[in-house]
Amino acid sequence: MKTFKLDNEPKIDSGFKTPDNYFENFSANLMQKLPIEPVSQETKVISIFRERKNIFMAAAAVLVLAIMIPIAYRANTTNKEVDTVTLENYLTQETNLNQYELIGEIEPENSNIISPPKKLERETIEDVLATNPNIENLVIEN
Amino acid sequence: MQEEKAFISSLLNPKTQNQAFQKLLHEYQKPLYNHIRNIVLNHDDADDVLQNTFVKVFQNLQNFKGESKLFSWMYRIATNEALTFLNQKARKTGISSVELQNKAIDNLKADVYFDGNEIQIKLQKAIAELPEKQQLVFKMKYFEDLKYEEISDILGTSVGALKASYHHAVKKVEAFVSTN
Repeated sequence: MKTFKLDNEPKIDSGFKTPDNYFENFSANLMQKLPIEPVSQETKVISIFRERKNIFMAAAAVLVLAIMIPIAYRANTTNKEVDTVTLENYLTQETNLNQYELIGEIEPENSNIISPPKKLERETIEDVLATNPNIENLVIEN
Repeated sequence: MQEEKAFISSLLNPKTQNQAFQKLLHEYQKPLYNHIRNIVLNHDDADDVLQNTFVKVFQNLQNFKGESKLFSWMYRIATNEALTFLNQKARKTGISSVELQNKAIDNLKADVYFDGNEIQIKLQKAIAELPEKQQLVFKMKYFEDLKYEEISDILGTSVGALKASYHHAVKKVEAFVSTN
């Protein structure tokens, strides 16, 4: 009987094989199972103009604000009431009313605006008559 | 050693973890697969155990003290996982570990991922006759070409004891192959 000696024989391998691409697939599958964050493939680009860009953006923002503030202020403070001069001009040029008709249009409760003071001092009347050169005309008209 | 410490730090750092673990896989998946396959014999079982091994490695990296080399630590985890797997499988099927191993050897002939002849089958049967520790030492020395110092780190046995163990294993294997 031949005695078997491991050292005398060529090395015997285990004979174990693996499926094709087993180790490549094993790595990929295992990495998906483990709670490891994937590495981002995109390289982060840091712009050398970033600092200057911020300055430009800040300047642009200030400019926009400077332009917008007066516009906004004017928009808020627009007076929708017609001033007296404009109203007078309009009534003079655009209507056929004379001053007497205009007085007639004023409602009775507002008539005290143009009514003379009810109690006039004698001295006041004298002063008015003395300083008014057209007193005669006024007396005739009334 | 410093290099290994830096590598372990990169494995623990979330920013470098992905790349470091891929490197770890690339470096160790083949030798660990071979180590596990030599213990469990079947490819599908080896695949399961290899996955469990790397999951455990990942989960326990924080507890790795660096008292032994990363290589030895990973081999130790793989060995424990493979032996635990065999014991659980034997318990589930209601047979002993030796019977399970003999059954696995009988199935090798039909295994598409086994490319061996009669002498390789006979060698596996001879190894199955050895005590568990001698089996491990023989497989790690003969099939995996590990140094005694490396096996000593992995199994926690002195180099002298390992040499004696391997010597006994070789004698038993030669006797089995000669008489069968």
